[in-house]
Amino acid sequence: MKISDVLTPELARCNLAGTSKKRVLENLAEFIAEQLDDGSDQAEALFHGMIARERLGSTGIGEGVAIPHCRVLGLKRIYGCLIKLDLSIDFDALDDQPVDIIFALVVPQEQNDEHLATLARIAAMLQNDHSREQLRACNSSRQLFDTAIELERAG
Amino acid sequence: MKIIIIGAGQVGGTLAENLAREYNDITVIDIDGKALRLLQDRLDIRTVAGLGSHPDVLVRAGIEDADMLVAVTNSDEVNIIACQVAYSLFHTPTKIARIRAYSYSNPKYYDKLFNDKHMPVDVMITPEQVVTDYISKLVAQPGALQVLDFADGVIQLVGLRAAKNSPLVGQELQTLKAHIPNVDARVAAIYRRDRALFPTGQTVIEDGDEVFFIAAKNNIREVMSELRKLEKPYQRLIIAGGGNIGFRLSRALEGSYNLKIIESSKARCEFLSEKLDRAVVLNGSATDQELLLDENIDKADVFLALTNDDEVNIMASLLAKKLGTRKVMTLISNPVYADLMQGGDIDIAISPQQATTSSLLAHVRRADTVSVHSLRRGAAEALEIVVHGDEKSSKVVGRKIEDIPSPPGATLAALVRDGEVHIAHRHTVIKSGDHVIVFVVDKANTRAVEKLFTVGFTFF
Repeated sequence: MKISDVLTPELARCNLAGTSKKRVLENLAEFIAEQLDDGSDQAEALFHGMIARERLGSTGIGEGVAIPHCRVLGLKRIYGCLIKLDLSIDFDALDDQPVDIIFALVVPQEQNDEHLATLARIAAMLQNDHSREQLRACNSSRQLFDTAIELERAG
Repeated sequence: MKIIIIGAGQVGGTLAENLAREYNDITVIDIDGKALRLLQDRLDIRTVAGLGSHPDVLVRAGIEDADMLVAVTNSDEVNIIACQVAYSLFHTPTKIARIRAYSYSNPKYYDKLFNDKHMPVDVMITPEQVVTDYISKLVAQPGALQVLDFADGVIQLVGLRAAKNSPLVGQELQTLKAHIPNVDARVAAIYRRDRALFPTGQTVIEDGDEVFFIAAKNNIREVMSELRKLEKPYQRLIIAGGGNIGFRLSRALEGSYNLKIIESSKARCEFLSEKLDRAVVLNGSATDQELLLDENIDKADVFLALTNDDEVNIMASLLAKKLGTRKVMTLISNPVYADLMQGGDIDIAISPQQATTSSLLAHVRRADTVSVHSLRRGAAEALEIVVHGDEKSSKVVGRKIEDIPSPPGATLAALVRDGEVHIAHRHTVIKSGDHVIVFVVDKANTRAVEKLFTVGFTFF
């Protein structure tokens, strides 16, 4: 699956409240939960899933980027969520640098492994210096979404 | 990690000290402003005065951003409520409460009470029980300075002092296999005159070395016999101090040992006599020479000084030793005293805070850490870590131990796979799901060990 298959304009956002990893993941979980098609309240499950995954190792891959992800029971499809933070936060990242670009990927519990290819695409995009510059320069959520889609198409 | 500690007493204070040293962001809450100022004077922490279970106090302490709450006040109820508030209002990921009353921790009620539907306490800690377990294991292995359990006790790490005229002393470590061919063990660390040696097959053990080895629990005695003359199992114990720890220990051991307990408070003695079946309860002072002589202190195998007063414990221990008891084990809270006394007339100094802090460290460590034990007063550490991931997402899965870039001073000593103990050898290949026991000579390298065992971002 491509990034454009999992990311919708509603799930791209410039700025999200929170100045700590815990708070940002909490707000991120709530933000994703609000956008779920079926209206089920998955905020709690999303938060716990992401926190549990971070415990085994931070998804902060360096250069200010984090790709938190988890499986969630009852989710209907794969969702991607792109966030640009105004203030970078400590994410316990591999290079110990604070994080300001977050691409979350949440998948149904019973999902097979096709999302791993999506994860790899996201990582490849965000490991590129030029891509990060473009994303950081965005001033609106819509622009953030368009930029991500364009970057994938061009990449 | 952002951690909030409620309670600036002995447990909370020591915990704050240990965690602040590890680049954590610590805030301590207490109702006693003076206790907070004392802590803040010597530690790099934030403090908030107030009742730790109140939501507004927790907010002032930064609960919204906290990864962990550790509630260790003297009140079980305040601790439980604090966890409840943290859960209901702030989604705090890890909530730990000190709970002393057995009525709460009683297995009959425990599971129904403590879960996210009712009382959301993720980890319950009872310092008195931690210390009691710690001492029980020492009493069960005469000659050991420290005995630590891993993987629910199937594997143990034992520290002892090597003594001359034992088979392995003066020999290279690699000869151990030839000495006891049926037993697999691994020497994880050697301290010689307080300096850590990194053991290899060619290392020669000397008289007086402090040796830490790891083996399956039922092989421990055989390995010990290689390093020092085996001591006869202890039979007669005298415990001084019938407080929380003295009482719990008596209850745990009275069935297997001939046990006497000395307690100065008459009322407490009555309580002890009522609750204990076989232990002999004596009303008197632990430093009363006549009393000790009357109770045949010279025939006692171990004298355990467990009052809540360091000075009393130390004096009573010195007296007991002088009067001829075989071993003394002494509860010493003040680390300066502990350093001063250990290894002299006091055979084993037990730090209650160290034991308690260790048991909490597992929740602070990155990677899936099941348990952490501090050794040598916090300088070294032994960890049990569960391995996750595959060849791609993990730095250890599918690799031979000799190919794993072990951080300096760290030994992958053993692993437990499907309940079975495997002592680590060069060719041992790590699998996902293994519990690996890692010994870290210098705690400064723990971070590198955590990094080795954390999974990469591709782990889903």
